[in-house]
Amino acid sequence: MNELTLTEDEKDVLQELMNIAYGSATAVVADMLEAFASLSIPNIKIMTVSELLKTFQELKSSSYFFSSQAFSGEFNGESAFFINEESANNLAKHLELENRADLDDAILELTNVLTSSLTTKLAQEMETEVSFSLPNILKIPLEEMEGVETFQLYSQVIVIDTNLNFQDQKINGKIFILTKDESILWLKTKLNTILDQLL
Amino acid sequence: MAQNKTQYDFRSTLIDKKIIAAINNGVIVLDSDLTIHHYNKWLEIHTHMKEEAVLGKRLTEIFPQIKEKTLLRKIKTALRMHTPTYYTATVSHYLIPIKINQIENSHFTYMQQDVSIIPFDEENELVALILTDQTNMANTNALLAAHVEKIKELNEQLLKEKELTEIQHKQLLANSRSAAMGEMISMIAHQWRQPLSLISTLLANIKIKKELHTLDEKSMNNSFEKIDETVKYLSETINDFRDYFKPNKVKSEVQLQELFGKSIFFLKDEMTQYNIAYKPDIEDDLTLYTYKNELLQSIINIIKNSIDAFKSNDITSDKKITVQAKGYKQHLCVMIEDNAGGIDEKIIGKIFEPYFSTKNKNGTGLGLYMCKVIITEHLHGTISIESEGNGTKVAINLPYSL
Amino acid sequence: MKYLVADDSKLARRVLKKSLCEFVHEDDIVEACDGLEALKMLLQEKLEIIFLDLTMPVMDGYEAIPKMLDINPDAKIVVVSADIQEKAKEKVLSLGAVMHVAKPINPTKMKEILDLLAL
Repeated sequence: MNELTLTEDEKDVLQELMNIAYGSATAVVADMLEAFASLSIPNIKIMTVSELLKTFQELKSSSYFFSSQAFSGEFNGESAFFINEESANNLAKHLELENRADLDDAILELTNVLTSSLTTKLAQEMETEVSFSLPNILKIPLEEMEGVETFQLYSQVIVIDTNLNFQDQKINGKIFILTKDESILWLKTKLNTILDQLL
Repeated sequence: MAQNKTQYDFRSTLIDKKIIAAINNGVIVLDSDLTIHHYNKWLEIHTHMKEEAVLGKRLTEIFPQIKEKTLLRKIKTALRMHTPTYYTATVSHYLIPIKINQIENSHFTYMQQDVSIIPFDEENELVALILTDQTNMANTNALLAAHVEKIKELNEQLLKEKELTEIQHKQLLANSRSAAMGEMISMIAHQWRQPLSLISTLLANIKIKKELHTLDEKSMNNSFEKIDETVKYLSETINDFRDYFKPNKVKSEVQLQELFGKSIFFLKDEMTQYNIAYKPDIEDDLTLYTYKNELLQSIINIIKNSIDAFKSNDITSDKKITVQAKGYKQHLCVMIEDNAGGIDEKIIGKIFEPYFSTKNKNGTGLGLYMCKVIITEHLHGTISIESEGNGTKVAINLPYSL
Repeated sequence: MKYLVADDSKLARRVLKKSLCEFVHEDDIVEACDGLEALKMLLQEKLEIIFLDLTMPVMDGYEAIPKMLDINPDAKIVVVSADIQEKAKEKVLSLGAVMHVAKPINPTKMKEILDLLAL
């Protein structure tokens, strides 16, 4: 498999597009939660699955909620959302949820909203359309991560990692957008088209 | 021309309406206040309620169990984002309570539903709720989860048993080490018997001569010299045993001829006593890099077994133990053969098992088991045993270096 | 009339400049890549209209706004950001910005903004 990399220029464009998409997504989530989020700058990297798993290892909490949602179209892939136990409980408190099932649902909703708004906006900027599958949720200890089937499918992933930060409510999470090799190629082409339009 | 006609037909025969009525999904159209604008056939059938009865009413009026706040939020978000939001069967189980009467898939009382909330008219704030029956999937998942639990339990059990076996194995090794020690001590005793007896005799002679006043300087010095020699021999023997029986921590160059020489040294008294001939056929300069003492112990053990077989099978003539050692490209092969009567084919399969012994109550049954462990696990070689009629052949293959 | 474009993304600056250049001469536009640099530029020359991003390293938009107004109280600050939360809008306006606009700004939008500022 060829090493896929993003050039500095391509990275710049993707970064800007992500910033805008992420701002849009955060606004929707803030609305949904009736709270105010501090925006952080998305961090973009291309890495192999094994490097990705190492990144996950560095997320220190022993048990995370991990939810994911697949999206399809010319631009396709999957987004993964991590939220630790503490934040999840704070989310539950904030939404005045009564039981565990409600919390799971809220996390799924959060995942869905983040993925949908992020990816839809990104797709819009790149003049394409995406559609979504239902989100999934797993509560697993981080050690068992490698068994999570999803990841084996993607040999190289673009990792766009951002922090969701509701300081007042002490809710934070990490979002990863993962795309396969073909999508990375498609993306590169798109990014270059946008660059050309600018010059 | 033809295409246009089809499109026209599509619109005029309201295929979309017919589809919504025919599909295997529930379709509810709601506005942002949860008022019902459409309730399709599937739902009519499953909830036993006609559309006319529910049109214009709020969904939560018809189904009070629905959490209004959550639904309102999901609808609002979908409209805001222009993309769907969801209820997933795995987490939320169902939105509309529909009892199921299946006999086989009876894990759930109510139909498990995936619900997609799809915004389709932003201006009028209308969304379509599409319900999909996921009961079969949910059942399969529940079964799977139960099986996974069971497997986890079994695995834990297995691990515990493995731990237990490992403890037993360690115990076994410890036992056989003790047994080997015991054997070594008896070998020392055997080696020492004659020299000690000699010293005793010499001393007795000196004593007698003294009593009889026939002790002369020369014969006394002679005796002293002999005693001295013998004591030296005893000391060397102890050193030899000590040096060759402690386990090696390092590997070293082992010359096979020398190794066999040492083995025989320890056993030659016994072999001479029982008239067993030793026939070596060891390739010159055959060497390997391994744990010397462990190899030595194994060889001594095997030859000792042959000696014991000769003793118990009461062979009368032409007793011999042949040792052949040959070098091949990647490994060397050592064959120890005797004509001590052979091993019954019924038991030859068990010969390497621990606690299995053909000797009388003095046999610990650990010797060959230990040999196998040492040769396979420590020396990375193989050992096999063959018996034909009147003799036994033991073959050991070893790599040139570990 | 001089304009300042402050954004840590080279691309975002380029995009904004492109829209702005349809109405204004390139020489009248200066660039800064974070809040601190923007302040430095402001100290060096009189810049009347400032296009400011919120998420920048060293000094972000929120911190920069009051400091900028200290240097030049007449400066008109247009916050151009990916952060389009209602509360973000409220915050920047209360700090003294005249406008909060979502990225990216196309030429049509830019004309509207410039017209509004001219009033």
